[in-house]
Amino acid sequence: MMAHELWLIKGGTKTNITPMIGTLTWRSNMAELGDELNFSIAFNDTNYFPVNPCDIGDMVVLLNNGKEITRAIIVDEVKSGTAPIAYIGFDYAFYLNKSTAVYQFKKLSADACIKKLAKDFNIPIGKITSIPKPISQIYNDKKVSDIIKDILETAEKSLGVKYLMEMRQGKLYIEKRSNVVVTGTFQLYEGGTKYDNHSAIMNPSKRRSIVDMANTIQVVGNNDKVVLTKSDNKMVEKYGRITKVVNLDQNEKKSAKQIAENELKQFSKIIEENEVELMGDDNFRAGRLFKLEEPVTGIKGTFLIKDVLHTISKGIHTMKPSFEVK
Amino acid sequence: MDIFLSINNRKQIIQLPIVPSEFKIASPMNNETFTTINQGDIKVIGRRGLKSLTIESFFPSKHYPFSRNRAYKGWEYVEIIESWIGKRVPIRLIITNTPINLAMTIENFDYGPQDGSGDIYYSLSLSEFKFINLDKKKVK
Repeated sequence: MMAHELWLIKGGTKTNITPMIGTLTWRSNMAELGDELNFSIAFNDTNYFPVNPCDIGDMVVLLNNGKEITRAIIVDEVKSGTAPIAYIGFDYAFYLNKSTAVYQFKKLSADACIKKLAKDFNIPIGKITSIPKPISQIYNDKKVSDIIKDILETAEKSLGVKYLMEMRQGKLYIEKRSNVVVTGTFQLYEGGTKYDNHSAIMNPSKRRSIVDMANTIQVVGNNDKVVLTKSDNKMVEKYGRITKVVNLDQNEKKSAKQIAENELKQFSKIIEENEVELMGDDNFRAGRLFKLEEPVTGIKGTFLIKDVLHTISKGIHTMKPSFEVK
Repeated sequence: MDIFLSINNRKQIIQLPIVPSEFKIASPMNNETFTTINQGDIKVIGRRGLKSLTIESFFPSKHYPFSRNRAYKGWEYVEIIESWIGKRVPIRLIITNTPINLAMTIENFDYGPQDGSGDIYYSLSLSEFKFINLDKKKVK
């Protein structure tokens, strides 16, 4: 069952470092661009033990039966005494998360803006779907990943389309958030029956809240005057009025109604956060959808995977996804 | 059945003069039990743990007719094993007439005289040592 392997890439050589690794975790999160990979390497100073081959700046690639799950650059190393050496790696999106920049876009389509950013920061592009929203904006000393997020949010507000941004095999993909629902399976032993993940749900928890609700949207123009107010009357009646102000760009006046409707759709609801622990499946990544029914806590529906932490410990793959109502 | 301990590709070998009347090899597994909400506990098969065994016997202070080997006496055996501990090297355990041929680490070595015979009674705990070979390839 040697499914997952971690290979270190250094110059022209790749080394399978799996035999030296204790616990391995990787995670993805909707709020952050890029995957994080954590692992520790056994350390020993006798001649009979391999010298630790890992170094800051090296690349590691996580494979499962030869198929790439994610790749990361080692950015952080902790040595403490003779304890295993801990490493943190991030995929290329790290450079977008850590760099700040100045950009001015003038009526450039959202996808063209993002393509330019990726090119400037040497991030290989897998696929960036056409996003027909002209962006006119100045970004000064902003994190590059935040600029991309802001561009996508602007497009989402105006077009009512949700986008998924993720790194795959070291390349940037931005696609319409698909309605493809991931399913997970696991085996109790190699060659054994494949079970659906639902058959082994551990530690479910469900949180419901109206703390972040907004059921009334006030759209404000650039002269600080309210252009229009739109309410979700049913929700106001039931939960009281909670207002959110949205500032409009000069050239967006015509779409004020559309923006208010899109904002209501997003905020006028009970926020539900669900968490479970499942046997691991590599298909689980932040931004994808999962259908879950758990009668004890009452988690039921098709959810957006907000973040997911995969863990391989003692050779056993488990994961902790957290879900958001889509 | 004879028991041989050696280091560094048989550069130094001990044949145990008195073979213990019994020993058992522990071969553990790192399985996990997960408590699920719909199936109760499920058992997930993990990876193999390290084999181990403890040899309990004595090093004779004089040559008994039933000694398997007379290369060393009493404390000399202790000195050799203590020097191996100091060298921090794995040792090889071979038990003849069995399939046992394992690289092992010394986990503990208890010894001391008993009942005035001058023989050194000991208990030697060994744990499996796995040599790690990292697979290397050229990046295409």
